[in-house]
Amino acid sequence: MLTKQHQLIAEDLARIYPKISDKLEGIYGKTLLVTGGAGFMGSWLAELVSYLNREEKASIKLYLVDSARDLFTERLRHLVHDTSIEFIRCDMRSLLEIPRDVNYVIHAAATPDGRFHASSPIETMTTIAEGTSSILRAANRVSNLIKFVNVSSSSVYAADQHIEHITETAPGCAFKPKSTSAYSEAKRYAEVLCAAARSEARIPIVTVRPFTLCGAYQQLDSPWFLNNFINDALHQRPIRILGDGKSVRSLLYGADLAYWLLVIMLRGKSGQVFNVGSDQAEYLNEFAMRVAANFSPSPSILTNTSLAGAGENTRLVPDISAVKSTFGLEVYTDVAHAISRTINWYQANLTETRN
Amino acid sequence: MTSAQSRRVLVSDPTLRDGNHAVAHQLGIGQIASYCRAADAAGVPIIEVGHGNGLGASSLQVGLSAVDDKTMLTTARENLERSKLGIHVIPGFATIERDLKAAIQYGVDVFRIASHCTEADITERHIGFCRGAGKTVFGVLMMSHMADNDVLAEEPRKMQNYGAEGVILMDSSGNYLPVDVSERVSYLLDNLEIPIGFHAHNNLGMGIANSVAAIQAGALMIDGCARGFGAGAGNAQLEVLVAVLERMGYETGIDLYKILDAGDLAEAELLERVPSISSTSVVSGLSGVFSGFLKPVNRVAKEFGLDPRDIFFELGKLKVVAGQEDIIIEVAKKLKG
Amino acid sequence: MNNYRIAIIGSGNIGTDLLIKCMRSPLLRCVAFVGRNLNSPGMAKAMNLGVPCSDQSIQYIIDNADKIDLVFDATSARDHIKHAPILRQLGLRAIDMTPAKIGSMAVPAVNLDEILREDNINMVTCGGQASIPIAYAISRTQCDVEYIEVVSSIASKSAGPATRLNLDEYIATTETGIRKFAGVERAKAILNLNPAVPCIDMQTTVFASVDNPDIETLRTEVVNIVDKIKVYVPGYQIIVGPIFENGRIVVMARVRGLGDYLPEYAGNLDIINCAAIALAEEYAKQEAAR
Repeated sequence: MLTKQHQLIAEDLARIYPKISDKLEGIYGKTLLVTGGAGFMGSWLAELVSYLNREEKASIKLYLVDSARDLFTERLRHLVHDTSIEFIRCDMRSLLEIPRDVNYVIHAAATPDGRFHASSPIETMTTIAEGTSSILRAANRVSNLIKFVNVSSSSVYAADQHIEHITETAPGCAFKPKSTSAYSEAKRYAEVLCAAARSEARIPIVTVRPFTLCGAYQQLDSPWFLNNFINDALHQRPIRILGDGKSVRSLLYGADLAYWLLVIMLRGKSGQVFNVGSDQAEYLNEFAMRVAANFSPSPSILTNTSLAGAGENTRLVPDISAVKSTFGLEVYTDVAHAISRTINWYQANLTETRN
Repeated sequence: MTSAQSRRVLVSDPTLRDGNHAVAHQLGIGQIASYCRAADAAGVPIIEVGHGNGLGASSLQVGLSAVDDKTMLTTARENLERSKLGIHVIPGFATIERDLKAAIQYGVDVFRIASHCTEADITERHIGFCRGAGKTVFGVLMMSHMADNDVLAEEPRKMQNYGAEGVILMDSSGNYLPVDVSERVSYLLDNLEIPIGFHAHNNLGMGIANSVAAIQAGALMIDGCARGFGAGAGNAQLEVLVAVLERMGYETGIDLYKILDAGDLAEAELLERVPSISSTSVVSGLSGVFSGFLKPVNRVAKEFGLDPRDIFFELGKLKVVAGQEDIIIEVAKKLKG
Repeated sequence: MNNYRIAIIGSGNIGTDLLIKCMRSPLLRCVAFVGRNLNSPGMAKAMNLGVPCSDQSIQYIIDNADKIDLVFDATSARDHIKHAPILRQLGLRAIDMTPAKIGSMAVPAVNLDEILREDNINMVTCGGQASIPIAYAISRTQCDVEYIEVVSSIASKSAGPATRLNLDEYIATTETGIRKFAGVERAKAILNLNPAVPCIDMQTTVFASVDNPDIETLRTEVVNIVDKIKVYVPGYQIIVGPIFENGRIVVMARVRGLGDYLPEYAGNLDIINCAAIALAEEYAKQEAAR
């Protein structure tokens, strides 16, 4: 019996499925392994695999690898008894081997939480470096590995407010070894390590660079703009924007992301790199207005609320013509819908916690 | 780069190497001497001589040559004055101790070290050795149609790191169309700083067009064979290539009349038949199988009573690489049932 | 049983695969898994299996020589050249898995009895292990064999940097092996790497130039010797021949690996390890018989 949250997700997946079903050919009967399996991407992929197995008899086997078992059992407890999904508790740094039947690896293990990067930059870098090295070594010994997807990050790009839409071949910034660049440099390191693995060990690797994502399975107190806005609204507070609200972002919904990842995994060619995100750019205060519109009464929106001044405005929006032209993928969930579904999920979560 | 420099193309002539495929590696001393003199007189910069699969390749696997490497190379050396003597070398067939050291002794000037297009790292030691001996070394990527751009782009860089001065892309099965060649050569030149060359085969009738496309996209080196004498449907026809390039304003340094004479000589003395595109060659080109397989496939097809075109399509599906001629027999047995 | 005490030096893929095979053998007991780095995946595997580990390399062997019967050296050519005299002095049998190959060549299906007397043995090459028994069968049944050629194709993925840098050594060693075991004057070895996916299994073709071939007798001999090979390399099979084609005897064999630590398509690496284990087991039997 699915909870309300899971109903929400299942509906989203069902809505998109008919538009994308022909691109998923080849996934039937395959075995996937996702590192960071209890995180945002892992959870959405688990939902999608469960959906495909349930509704489309896809017979996909999924291994979720994560160090946080309790997060898995808490988030995905409705999947705990799904025999096609198996949780492997492991710290990426000490991962030695993966099951021999794995056909696809999606390496999504990382903490994109800026607070952690700030407080523990050493561990931020070593988890990514050692974790990536371990999973590559383990993947190299699997006989039937068809593809390896390295989930990198948009942080490998220089966030330049003059670039309207960042393409995959945008130049990187000048190298400045500061601890604040721990995450982005570690992700760049991981991308180069993957290129080395492709060249030397002939592992077929496709790289994806996710931009801003939204949907279930994030945390309300994560320091991302949408989570902040929703958190404020849910707690009946005015929505606070630190700057003047003119920074520019885009949002890709979790259901779209999950489908995109599977299609890129199935059809991407070794060596290719794809931005994953929405190209529908909006100002932060527009996002704030959208969030507010989901509440009655609507919370007010306060700008320039930072006492210290928020600094220059930034723009982080991907050019996604590569995924569009290569795979025919689209943004299937428009931003209004993405935000309202996300809010519904958090609301259902809160209600459940309260009860 | 001055405009004069940018119009210069380095021509390498493997008539006496690729052509050996067409005669089951049976070119003799007289033929080698004769063609070398003619091509040298025409001012061809590099003349490549040897077994079709290169130095040290004479074998039951790919065919025994009539004349051994030493005799072929010393004969050529004696009959070349201005032109440089080049050889094709595949690690896995040729070794440093047994073959490369000797080749240096015989007076070879230019060493083209070749691997399958995704396996450049097998050439590290051989390129290094020749470079260390002060010789001119190029890398060669065979069957280059079999790799996508992203994968292919890494291989020339490896060869460059090992010491190669340039990398030649081979269309060993004659599978490319001109637009493929332009796109590929441009992509590599955008991503690498290394001179690129091209070696065409004519299975789909695109030998000259592909060569022109490569040069227009920025390739600086090009291969051509007299009368197109080469494996399968043959190579880009050298005399035609020189004529076309000159007309387009490129400099080859080759005398037109004398290269035409060399073509006539090749037809009279080297060829058994003038290369043409047989129906089997069309199929091998389409299926992306190494052109050098034509003779053995035809032979095995006859032995087993099969259509050689079926064998080629099957080999294409298995993605066999050059040097895997033994698989032909296995495929024939399987098709026979 | 389990009385013959094995030490493995070299905790990379080859050493770890040997470890797993050792654990499965009723005659062998791995008493030490030794390398330079306790953090390597091989070491972690050994620790999981309860095998004593050390990062002291050859020093550990020196300190524990009285508790060891045979050493598999899966380090590097350079290191084995240093280890070999030490092991000889300690009275320990050595099976050299590196490209050094300074000792005697062993092909269990062919020269088992002589090799049991030697103290430093190597397994030739993967192509050698796959082809020498066939070459031997040809030399035993045909008159005037003056040339044998071996062509091997392996999956590109199964060939790491060590293989790629040592192609020339591979060719030279395989040719030496063929000449020695088949008693022919001239031999040639060729190696192809094929990047096709799914990865191909290792495939080896043996050609021989023979004037008057006797295929029937050869066929029987090949069947016999392949039965011997299959005892220690279950994934070995003849896929074509013996036949006489275009003036040459042709026999084609394919090897699929067991997939113990290495992927199944790495039959080239597996055949060497299987042969090495088979040899160790014969030493164990010899020792037990004393």
